Amino acid sequence: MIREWAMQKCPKGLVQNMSKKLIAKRELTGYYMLIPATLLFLMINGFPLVYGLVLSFTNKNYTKPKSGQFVGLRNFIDIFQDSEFWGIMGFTLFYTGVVVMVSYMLGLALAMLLNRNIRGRAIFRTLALAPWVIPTVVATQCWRWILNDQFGIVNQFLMSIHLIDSPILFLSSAQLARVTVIMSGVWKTYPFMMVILLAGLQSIGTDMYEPAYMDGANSFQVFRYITLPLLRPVSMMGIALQLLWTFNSLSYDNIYLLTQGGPSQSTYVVSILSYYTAIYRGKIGYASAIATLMMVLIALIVLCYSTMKVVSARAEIRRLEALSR
Amino acid sequence: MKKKNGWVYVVLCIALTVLLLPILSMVTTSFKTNAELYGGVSFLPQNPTLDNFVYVIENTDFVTNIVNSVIVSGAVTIISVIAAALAGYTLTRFRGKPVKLFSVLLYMVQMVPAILLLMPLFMVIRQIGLYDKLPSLMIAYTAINLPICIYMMKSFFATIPYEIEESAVMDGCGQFKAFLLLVIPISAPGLTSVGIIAFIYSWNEYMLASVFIRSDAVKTLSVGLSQFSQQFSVEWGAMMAAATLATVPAALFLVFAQKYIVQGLTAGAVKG
Repeated sequence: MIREWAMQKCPKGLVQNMSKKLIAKRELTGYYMLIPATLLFLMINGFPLVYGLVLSFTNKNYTKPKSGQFVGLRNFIDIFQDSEFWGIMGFTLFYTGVVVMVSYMLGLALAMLLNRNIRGRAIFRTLALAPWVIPTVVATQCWRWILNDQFGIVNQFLMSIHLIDSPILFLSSAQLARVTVIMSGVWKTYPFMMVILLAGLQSIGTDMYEPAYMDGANSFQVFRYITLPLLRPVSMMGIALQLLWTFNSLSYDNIYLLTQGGPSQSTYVVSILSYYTAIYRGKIGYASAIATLMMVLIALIVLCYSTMKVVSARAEIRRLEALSR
Repeated sequence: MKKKNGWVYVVLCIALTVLLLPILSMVTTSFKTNAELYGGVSFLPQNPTLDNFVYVIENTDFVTNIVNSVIVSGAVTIISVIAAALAGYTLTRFRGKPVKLFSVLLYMVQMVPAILLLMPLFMVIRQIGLYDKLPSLMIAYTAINLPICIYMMKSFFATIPYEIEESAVMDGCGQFKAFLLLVIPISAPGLTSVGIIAFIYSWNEYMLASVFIRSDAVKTLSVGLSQFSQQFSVEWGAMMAAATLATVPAALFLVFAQKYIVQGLTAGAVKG
């Protein structure tokens, strides 16, 4: 009995010579070791999260001292009827989707190149990683500088080869500003994709490819039918994480620092809307409701992802069973 | 299966030149004189000068900002490494109910949008008297970046075989003592990875810093730099010099500790 009970709690091999009391004491040590992290989570994530959820059901407003009453679902109903919100949500999803997709493709292309047996691979990899470690503030300043209408190198170059006659105003027109924030978003996120895909590629090993090449497969076929399927778990993990990060927080820094949501709200994302609603209009309750909706959406995405993982795992099991029969 | 790789170099060089253009432009601009900056057409500075750097250091709060960022990032690094090592170790060596509960908590914490926490956290920070003080950032950064640090530590400890502590624990040495005396000394790579990731995160963070800090004396680098760009919107030379300086720690880590950064990113993604 004790053996069985202990087996569940301790790593294998440890249990044989330990008394129940000793095991319980050991177990307690583990709980103590979780205390610092748990305290931090409760203070910084837990309590504010509950507080934020509660606020989203109130009409708390900084500009009105008597506000803060419980208003039920009022905020959410207002949000659902707000066409401005849906436009911004649409752009947020578009931004997140495009940034993650393009950074995945760029990351995969670079990872494929860097996975080859070339000299100076470490140097190339270091250079390709650079955008990830650069502070977003610096990155956005750099973009503003090279896209500057008068002195920016991009406009100067395009004008010197007479592709354009007058400078392109990258951050002043709604459409171009959207393209620009997406571009800089991709620039900041592709290194992560590249690194994890490179790790994925390196775990495949060359012996998977040789028979295919011997049978006369061309590079594209090998990529399509061997590399991509084998990269699937890593790809899914990377895409899921990046979707989460971009939607949750990365979009905020990147866009806020580049355009502050402008020109005329064209590059607003949901987090920026929530921020402005809270800080400039003082509507804390409404802003919290917006953020709560974001979290619900994220929870749905995560749920979809987990389901997909379970479904594909089941399919894999069925395939293996069919093979073994 | 010997293949010619010449084209790979060409493609990589072109791709990286385009991708790194913003950074290259930043560095070259920071060494240009104003006349060159606004009149010249050359990409490289013709008469490299340090004037922009001197200007930034003498006329702005930039040095203060850097010091503040170093203090915050240093503290976050230390707390993160300790908390993540403890929790990561527990996740690999213990299996009780609270441990399972903790890993669920860890999973959920990552789903909370930072913006939802921002206002309530701001109120909490003000209540406990940390508003406009550096410790507010230290605590917040550590907690927000902790899940990824714990995952990294966990996947690192999982590679250390349990046999290392086993006999010691059986001989009556406490598990914690075994962790401290046997596991930690061989965990330098994992701890370094976590430390670097935590440092880079806190060095770069902008949103919380812009809300929790008001006075110039305690502003961190990212906030200082973003304000700088509003105050001196036309002085691109000085701004690029400041931006270049702000990039130095990241660049150093990238060159000298790239292995750990890559390990950190991969561990977080593959095992997370």
